[in-house]
Amino acid sequence: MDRTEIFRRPGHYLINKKPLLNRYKKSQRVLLHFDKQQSKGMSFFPLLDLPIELRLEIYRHCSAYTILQLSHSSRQLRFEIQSYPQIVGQSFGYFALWFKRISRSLARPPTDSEYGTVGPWSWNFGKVHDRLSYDGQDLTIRHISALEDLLEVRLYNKQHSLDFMQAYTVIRVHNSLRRPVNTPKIKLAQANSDRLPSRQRLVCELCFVVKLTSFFHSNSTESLYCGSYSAICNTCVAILLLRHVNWEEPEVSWLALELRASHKHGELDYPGYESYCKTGSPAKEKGGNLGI
Amino acid sequence: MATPSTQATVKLQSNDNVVIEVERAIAERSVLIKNMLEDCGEVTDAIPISNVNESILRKVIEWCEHHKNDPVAAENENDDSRKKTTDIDEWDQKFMNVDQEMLFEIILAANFLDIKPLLDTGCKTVANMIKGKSPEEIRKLFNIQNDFTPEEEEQIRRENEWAEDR
Repeated sequence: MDRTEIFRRPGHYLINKKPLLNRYKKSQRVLLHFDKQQSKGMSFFPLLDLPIELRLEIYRHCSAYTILQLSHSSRQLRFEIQSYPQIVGQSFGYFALWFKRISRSLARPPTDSEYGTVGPWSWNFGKVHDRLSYDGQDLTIRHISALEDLLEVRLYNKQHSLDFMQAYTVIRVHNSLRRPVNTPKIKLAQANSDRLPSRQRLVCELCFVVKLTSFFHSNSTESLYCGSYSAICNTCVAILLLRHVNWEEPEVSWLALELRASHKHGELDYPGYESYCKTGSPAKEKGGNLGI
Repeated sequence: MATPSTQATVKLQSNDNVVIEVERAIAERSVLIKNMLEDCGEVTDAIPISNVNESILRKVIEWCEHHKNDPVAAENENDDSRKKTTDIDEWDQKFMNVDQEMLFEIILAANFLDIKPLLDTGCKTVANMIKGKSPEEIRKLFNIQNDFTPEEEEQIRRENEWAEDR
């Protein structure tokens, strides 16, 4: 019998271990139906059995970072996401979301030296056009400016700084700056600077904004914990301390410099502050204190 | 067009031939049924809901009963705001705390019956399931096979690097 006829035989996908070349995995979906009839209680959600319009509806509820994870899970999902760039463009935490805040007439194209530096961590943020706006090509990590909640933050930090989260014991330090007495707990991780490249980004567990690692480097604790990184960015630490600390004290005056950076970080009225003090975890508010 | 009816209840028939009687106001949470009733006026026979079985239909009716007083969204409403949040009402969270198959069926039923808020809740529930999961965990969750070639995986790895930035 001709080999091609074997492949065309009905049900061949149940027999052959290696399925035919089929990027959309129809064979897998047929197997899925087969399993569904066999056992009623499924341990997985049959996403690929939903009509495409319902899958797109689900993607519309996802943040940009979650969409990125989805696009890395299979070819079909990647293809669908790439085919509907407006879903990515409107998603929470997508870079362009920040850019909407200023008028286009005020913005200007970036110079070569500014290229890649107009993220929320940059001085030039919101002042120049960014080349990273989504063009229907592949969504990358560089398009993500903010995350939606703590689950995503921990995944991000785990994925992009393994040394930071895994190779070192994370310790909880009360009063990491020694005073004031009633400061909230701050999670620290010890790491050498060379293990965390300066271009690497982390996400603050309080404001959920993607920032350079330098924003997480705890200079003041260097004498106690060599090269320690906080899970909360220095800006948020400063904001938390503002209510307790006299800024004239030299011990904390370095924090004033950190207030220059990042979007909306001049706010003192962080709504989740009280619950953070009580529970030690940020309030469940989307986008931290960004108000977007 | 038929004259508006004062009928208090309507009968819905699931695809396994079970007839369920519900208040008209509750049934009209479904745009499909609402339009049908407006077009046909008084309906004495059971309305066949061909794509939904009894258990799912009862579940959908339960949701409609709880949300019968909710304001109905305008048809031409630009629903950007509706889609931007994955916050789910506490009652809806408990309602959606069902096995994966029933969640799947509820989403399909909400789509068929054209109940947008229920469809939104179902989609948000699935979106919340995905949130905070790595690609490998997503594959397990949805029983998806990793079909990327080594070259594509290398491209994905590059997409997740910060090497080009200063």
